Amino acid sequence: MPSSEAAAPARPLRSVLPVGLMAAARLQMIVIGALMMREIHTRYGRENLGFIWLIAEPFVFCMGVIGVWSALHEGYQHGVPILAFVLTGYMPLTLWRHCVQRAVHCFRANASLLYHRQVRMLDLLIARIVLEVYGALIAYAVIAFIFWALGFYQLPKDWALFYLGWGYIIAFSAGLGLVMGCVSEMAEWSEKLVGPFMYFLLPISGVFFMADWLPARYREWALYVPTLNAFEMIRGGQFGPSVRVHYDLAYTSWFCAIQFALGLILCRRVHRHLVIE
Amino acid sequence: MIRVEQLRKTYPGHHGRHVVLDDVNIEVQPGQRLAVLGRNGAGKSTFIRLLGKVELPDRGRVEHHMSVSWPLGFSGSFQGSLSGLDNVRFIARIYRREYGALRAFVDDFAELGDFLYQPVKTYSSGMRARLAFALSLAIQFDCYLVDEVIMVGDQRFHARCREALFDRQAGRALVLASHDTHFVRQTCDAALVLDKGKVRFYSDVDEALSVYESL
Repeated sequence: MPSSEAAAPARPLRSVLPVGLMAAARLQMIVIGALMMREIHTRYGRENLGFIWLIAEPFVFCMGVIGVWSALHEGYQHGVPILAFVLTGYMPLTLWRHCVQRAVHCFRANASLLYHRQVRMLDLLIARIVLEVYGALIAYAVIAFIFWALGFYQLPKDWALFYLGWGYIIAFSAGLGLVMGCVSEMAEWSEKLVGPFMYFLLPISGVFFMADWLPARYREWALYVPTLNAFEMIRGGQFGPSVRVHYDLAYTSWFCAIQFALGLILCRRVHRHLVIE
Repeated sequence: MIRVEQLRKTYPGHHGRHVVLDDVNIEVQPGQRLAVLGRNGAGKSTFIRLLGKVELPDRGRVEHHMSVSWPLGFSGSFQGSLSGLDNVRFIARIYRREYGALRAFVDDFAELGDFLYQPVKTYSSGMRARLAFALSLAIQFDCYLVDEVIMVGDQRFHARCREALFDRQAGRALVLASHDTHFVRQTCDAALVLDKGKVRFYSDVDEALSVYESL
């Protein structure tokens, strides 16, 4: 018998898996933290730049887009500086696209970890989504700082509105990630529709335009798209009173809340239907 | 104790839903060593995953009144693209054990040497089993769920598992799915026979084995 086996004291039941609401919540945080570390290791490896790619990837992407747009529109469009406009459009877009993409294959990559009963479908999704949110926020901060230091980017005029818009984009992306992650697990074909769906959403999402640029009768309809509301807030915060923004706080809040609740319900259902190898 | 009440599990099948287990009521007592017998496809692995609360039943419930290991089997429990050590680290985190102590035990028990730095997907099934057993023994559960997998280990590993887990002196409860009648007779003191969705309990292992052999 190995010596350490004899030396290890038998531990009480409670210490393996805790009981009680607070203890359970703490364990859940630990599990999600461990899953995030796991994701970082498998996705970015231990060598080379590692998790720097979390920032470098959207950075490279944004640089390309800013280059093309600046060449086409000579710095300003509708009186708005292109660089800040692209930055406030593409960075939230990356967050939102990545959340869905990562959620869709989430179960397949992690199925074996569900053998540990404290790991749930919801934890797998949350770990990936939180990581994407961190990535997008850090990337935005780093890229914005670089351009600010170079004098191409001005800090947001209204921080509160700016953060509120980001908050809504995060809430929307996380909710959509939960829903899509579960739906893709319940019906295989739905995965094929994710691409077209995202493509369709892109032109109406508000990445490329502001509501005020639209004719009034279209604007009313456009504001049913929750992301447009969030982009309006971000840009309202970024550019301040120099632009007119349109958004509906109540509608966007309800949309995100209902989507999130739906995601949570689906997570419960999916776990019941899972067949784990 | 593990208490199982009115358990029912179905999977989507070719003609409607296939009933794997129906109305199962059993208890696993502390220290009890229970064999799970049945032909291929009788639902042994499903039963063990349900006992471990990895899959959820269609109906009924599984209650744990002691700490129960995850199902130790051919598949699952590790992330293939991560190294053995990263998996040890992950498990240390989610079971709230100290990484250093866990690693020391795994090094000693599993004897995987430098393979611990390789991705788990490159491991043979014997090596995976060694890692899984070492980890679960280091965490110290009251009850171990073992799905066949013990057969893939080598002689030396068998001997170590016998001392730490399968011998009565080890004092662990055990639920063991196996086709190895010799091993079952040697290790277990009661048995379940699974057939056509029904589970029958036998307090006499020899009787259970003769029922199983007549299936």
